[in-house]
Amino acid sequence: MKTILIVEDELNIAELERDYLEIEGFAVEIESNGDKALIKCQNNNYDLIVLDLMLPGLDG
Amino acid sequence: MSIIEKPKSLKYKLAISHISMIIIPLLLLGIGELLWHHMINPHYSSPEEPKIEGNLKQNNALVAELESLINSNPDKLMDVTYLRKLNRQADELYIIVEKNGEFLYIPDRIDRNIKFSDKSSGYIYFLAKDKPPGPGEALVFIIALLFGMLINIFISYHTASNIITPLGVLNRATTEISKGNLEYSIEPSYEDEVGELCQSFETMRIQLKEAQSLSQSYEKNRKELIANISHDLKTPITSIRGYVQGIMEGVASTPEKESKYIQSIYSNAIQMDRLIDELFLFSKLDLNQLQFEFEAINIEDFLHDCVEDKGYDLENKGIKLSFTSTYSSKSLVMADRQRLQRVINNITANVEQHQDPLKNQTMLDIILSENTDEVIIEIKDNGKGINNENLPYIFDRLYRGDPSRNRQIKGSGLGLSIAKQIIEAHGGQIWAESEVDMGTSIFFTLKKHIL
Repeated sequence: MKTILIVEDELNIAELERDYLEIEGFAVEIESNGDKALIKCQNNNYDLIVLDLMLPGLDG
Repeated sequence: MSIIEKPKSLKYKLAISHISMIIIPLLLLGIGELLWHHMINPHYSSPEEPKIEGNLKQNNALVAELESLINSNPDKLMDVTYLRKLNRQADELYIIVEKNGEFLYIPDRIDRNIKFSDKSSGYIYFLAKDKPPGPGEALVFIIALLFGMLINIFISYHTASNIITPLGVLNRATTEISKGNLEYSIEPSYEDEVGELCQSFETMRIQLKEAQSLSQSYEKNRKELIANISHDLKTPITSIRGYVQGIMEGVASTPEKESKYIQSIYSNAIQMDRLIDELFLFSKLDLNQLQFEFEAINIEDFLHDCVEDKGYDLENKGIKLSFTSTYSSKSLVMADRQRLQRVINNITANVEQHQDPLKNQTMLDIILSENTDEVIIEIKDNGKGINNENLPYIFDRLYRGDPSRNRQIKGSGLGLSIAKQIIEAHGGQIWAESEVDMGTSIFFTLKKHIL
């Protein structure tokens, strides 16, 4: 199963995106913080990253 | 621009008038001289002839009187007083009467007494020859004329430079301004009326420039506002579309999800509605088109009701609301209930958005106090606070503090600005005090209704 990381600080939108993607059969992780997302990427192998540009702290 | 090309110009007129001032007197002199020689004094034709004949003609009446006296009453000519009088009346003529070799009356001007060696005395008479103007006189005359001309030219030039040059400068400046260039400034080097005009002109230019930059900044504000509003409406509407599409396509695969989506759609719709309301209100306030319905209200009861209405709602959001009142006079206050409610709503909404997550409990206190002719309402929170640099700007439109947090803030940035306009329309003042990490207090005053 392919894994997608959603980097998005607005939770409502992130969850909506997850619902859409899970229906299509993907595994989805959500991360709302830019720095933490970077760490996650180093530790995991994602097939796709959906990245929001306007984030607090480290932006897209 | 030469003088010749512009016959209507001041330069041209000035030049003409100054040249005339030289030529006309010369012409008149010339004409006068001709008249004199040909009509009044025609006998004067040779430079060597004494002008005695001319002088006699000049003193026609006198000469006639004397000649008749010679015939009728010669003894009158012995009267020294009479002779003195005659000499005074005579025009460039001396009249001397001799009797028996003696002069009866000699006018003072004639010199001089002679004593000869044989003891007899006499007189030397100096009779003037009329000398025509020789080269010496001509030279003096020409020099005087040249001098006059020089002075004339100098005065022309001076007048020109004092009036015509500044006119030129003003003209150039006006042209620049009409082209839209408001930076062209006039150097204030003149001190007279022209200088005053230049100063007034400068003042006008600066006013125009300020008005222009003010209008430019309004325009910029307006564009920013529109861009922000568009963005702020886009976000909820995108969410709504997403959720609706999700329901339609079955992405909301469970009843809980469906319920959650519907809830989100609802709250997004409310947010948009509020934003549109605020925008509408703001535009009306800005144009001073908003009608206020002022009545004398009991401010204590009003605030009490406010707190009751909002209290429940805020508690659900984890905010503890309280109301303290030290309002002994119980005077009524002039206010528009609806607008005042909005002020309170906007301020509390702000508090909701800027809560400090590090604090256990967000507290919101409404405190009522008074002075002689106003009531003072303080809305105090224990939020994150606002630092001193930003404090003066919080009532400005669109101000949102830290710009990178733009997207997370649900408000329009107009809330406090609207509150300020409403309070000021009530004749009151609004201001804020804050300490970072401790909290913020927003104060506003309303006028008491004193009968």
